Amino acid sequence: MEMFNYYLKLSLRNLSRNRLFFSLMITTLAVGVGVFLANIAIIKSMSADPLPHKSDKVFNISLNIWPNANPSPELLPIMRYDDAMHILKNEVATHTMVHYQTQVYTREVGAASVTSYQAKVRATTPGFFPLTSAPFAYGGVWQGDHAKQVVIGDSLNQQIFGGGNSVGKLIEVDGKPLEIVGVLKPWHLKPLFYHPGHRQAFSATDDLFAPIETALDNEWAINVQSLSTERINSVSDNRGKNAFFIHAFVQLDSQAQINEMKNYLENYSQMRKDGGDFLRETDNRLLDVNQWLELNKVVDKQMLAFGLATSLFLAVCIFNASSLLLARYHSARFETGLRRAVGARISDIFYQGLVESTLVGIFCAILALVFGWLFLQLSLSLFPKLENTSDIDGSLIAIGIAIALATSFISMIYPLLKACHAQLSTTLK
Amino acid sequence: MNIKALLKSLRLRKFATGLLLLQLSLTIGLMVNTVILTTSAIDKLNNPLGFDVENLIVVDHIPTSGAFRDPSYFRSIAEQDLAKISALDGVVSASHYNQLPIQRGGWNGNLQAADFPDDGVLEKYLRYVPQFYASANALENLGVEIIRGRALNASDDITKDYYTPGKRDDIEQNIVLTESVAKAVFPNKPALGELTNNGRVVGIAKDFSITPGHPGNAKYYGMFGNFLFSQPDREQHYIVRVEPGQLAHVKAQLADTILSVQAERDILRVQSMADRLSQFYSKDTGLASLFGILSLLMVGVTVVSSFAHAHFHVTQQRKFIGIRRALGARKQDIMIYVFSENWLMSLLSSILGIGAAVALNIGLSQVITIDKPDILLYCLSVLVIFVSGSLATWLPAYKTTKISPVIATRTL
Repeated sequence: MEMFNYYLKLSLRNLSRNRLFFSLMITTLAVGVGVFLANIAIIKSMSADPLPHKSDKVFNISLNIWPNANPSPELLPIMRYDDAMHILKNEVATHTMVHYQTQVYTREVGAASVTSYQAKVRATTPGFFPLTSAPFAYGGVWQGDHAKQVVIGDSLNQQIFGGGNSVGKLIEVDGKPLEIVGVLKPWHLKPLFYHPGHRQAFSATDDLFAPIETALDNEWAINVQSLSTERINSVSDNRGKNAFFIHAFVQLDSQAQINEMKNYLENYSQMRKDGGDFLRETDNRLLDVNQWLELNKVVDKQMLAFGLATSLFLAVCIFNASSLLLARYHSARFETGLRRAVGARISDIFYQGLVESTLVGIFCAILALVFGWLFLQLSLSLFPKLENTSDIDGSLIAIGIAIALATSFISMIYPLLKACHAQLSTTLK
Repeated sequence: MNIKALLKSLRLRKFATGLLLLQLSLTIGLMVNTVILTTSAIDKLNNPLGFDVENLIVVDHIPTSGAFRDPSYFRSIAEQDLAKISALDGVVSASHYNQLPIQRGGWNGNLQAADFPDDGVLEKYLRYVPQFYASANALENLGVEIIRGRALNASDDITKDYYTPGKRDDIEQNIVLTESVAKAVFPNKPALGELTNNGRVVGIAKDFSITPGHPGNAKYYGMFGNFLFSQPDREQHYIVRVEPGQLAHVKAQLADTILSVQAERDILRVQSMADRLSQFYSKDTGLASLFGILSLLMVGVTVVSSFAHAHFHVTQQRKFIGIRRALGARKQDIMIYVFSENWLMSLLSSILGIGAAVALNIGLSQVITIDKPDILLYCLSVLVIFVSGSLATWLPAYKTTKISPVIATRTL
């Protein structure tokens, strides 16, 4: 410990004696680490597991049924109302939910103000909540498929009622009252695995959750993706028609359930084929959450490309630091030689260099976190749509510190070894 | 200049030289690809779109009241909106649209000849032809010319029939197709007068960019009908064409004008079509900017390294330079000697830089669409490296000329 303190003092003295040199070296290394870290912050958040405790048990269902001849082999992530209703009837899955996305303007019934609030709506089934682990603050789910009841998210609850327990209160949509039966806690789900397509993977969770039948009864439009092969006269007319607009997910906790569900879907496809539909060449698909997110390419390609460039930049910064350190050790070779001459072993020189590299790494880490934050803000200003994708959390800071220490060590290792193995006689001469 | 001696001198500092060579070549590689991304983004923004982008304003809004679920109310408000907007000073015309040009996704459908066989396989992009339901003057409002047949007019409006019970199934609408999609649907005969699964073709419009992300002529595919789709849960769009120079003046009044007709609307966006175009390509321009910033930083780091390398070398070789001075070398000879070492490094790195540029281009092409490097961009990057390297070497080179020949005798 005594030696460590001595080395630390020595390193600090070295750093302060060569202020310009070390500030140049630390700054370039910190810029490299900072830029790399900002990129990692975005990519890490984009590739996060939204349901870490059960992402391998929650599956998206894509069916291979199509109403017309010669369908392309590519599966659609959406299905018809009848298909979704059949999937809901299964007795295999632990939880099943189907949904589509819509949007309404809503306000409290009898509110003095005429202001209506925009609400992103998930028209779904009760299985949505246990399957997605949506956290209830108050109340619970609606009773009945056509119930005029809804669950609201925390932000809508704050907007309309200023927060608190709003269970039992009424809101209106298009002048029709709906009773609030549940209020969710603040809920952040990144990526939004149950609807990652159409540039929505990093959107906030929904404001309002309503029974799918109620949404259809009220003609709440499908506002993201829908596809039909026949004329649809109204939103509720989608029932029973060849209109594809519903997403389906199931929770399957065991391999036996997975196998049973595959059979269930296969039997359904065959039944529809016998009824006159056509099957694509591809089989029905069950993808767990992470496979599903990968298929939807939630990690931004531009950020991956930039990741490649920032890695190169980091390498260049390490080369630069290493090159500077080589020069520094070379110019300090007399001092090193003198220390060796008065009894210091090679291992002592190496140990002292290690302490110096750690010290440089610490300064670099502090500066890298600042540069990283600045560069992240710059990236977000150039890519406003990525605003919700980056989180600077404890793990990211730890990663930043680790990278800074590692790069500092990598930069120093060759120059240090070179300094340690310099011929004593040559130096002293 | 003795190249052999220079190479020998560099070999004596293998590690430092190798690191600098790697840095320089990676910098060339990054710069080449940055310029490719930047020029590609600029090209996309400057590509002629075929319509009057500069004088158009887009308004996106959505009703907040249930009253709009009545199609006749919806229509009446839209007509009043357009009449009031058209009366504003500086406005040339205004139209409603179910979707906008310069888009991804959108309202698409298959477009085929009415006699297309049931089991026929339609070309991919004919299965997703953007279907515009808009005012009769929608194309004229955009500044798009009708090149054959006629433009849509009031008699083509199917809105009333569409919302009259029992009449919807009997509608045969008149449509205008863009030139490219007309040729794709009817490759062997003129499309004018022909019947498609979406109506009869009464006019052919000059191609204009509707879906810029689609390849080839598919970006021009579009079908126009005269219809006001009453769907109050979806965004409604108005496009306002203004006289040159009036954009800002009109834009400032649009939200209030619309809300003065009926206040229960949420005006989501009022933006110029040029801004919409910039936003459409914001990812491309954003990435090019990030690469640009990174390239600048990389050049900066490389300048520091070049400086350190030259400085280190000069410090190491003070004695030898002194001897050379004592043997008769002039100041400029010494200066050129230091510079020539940097130039040699730049030359070697420019050769390695070809590999770095190509490798990075291949790496990037795995995740994004990027053009191939070309010789001009490469030469430009090499020039930057030569100039920045020379500037970084200037100070150590200048200091070298100050080394006195006496040094040679002092250390002997």
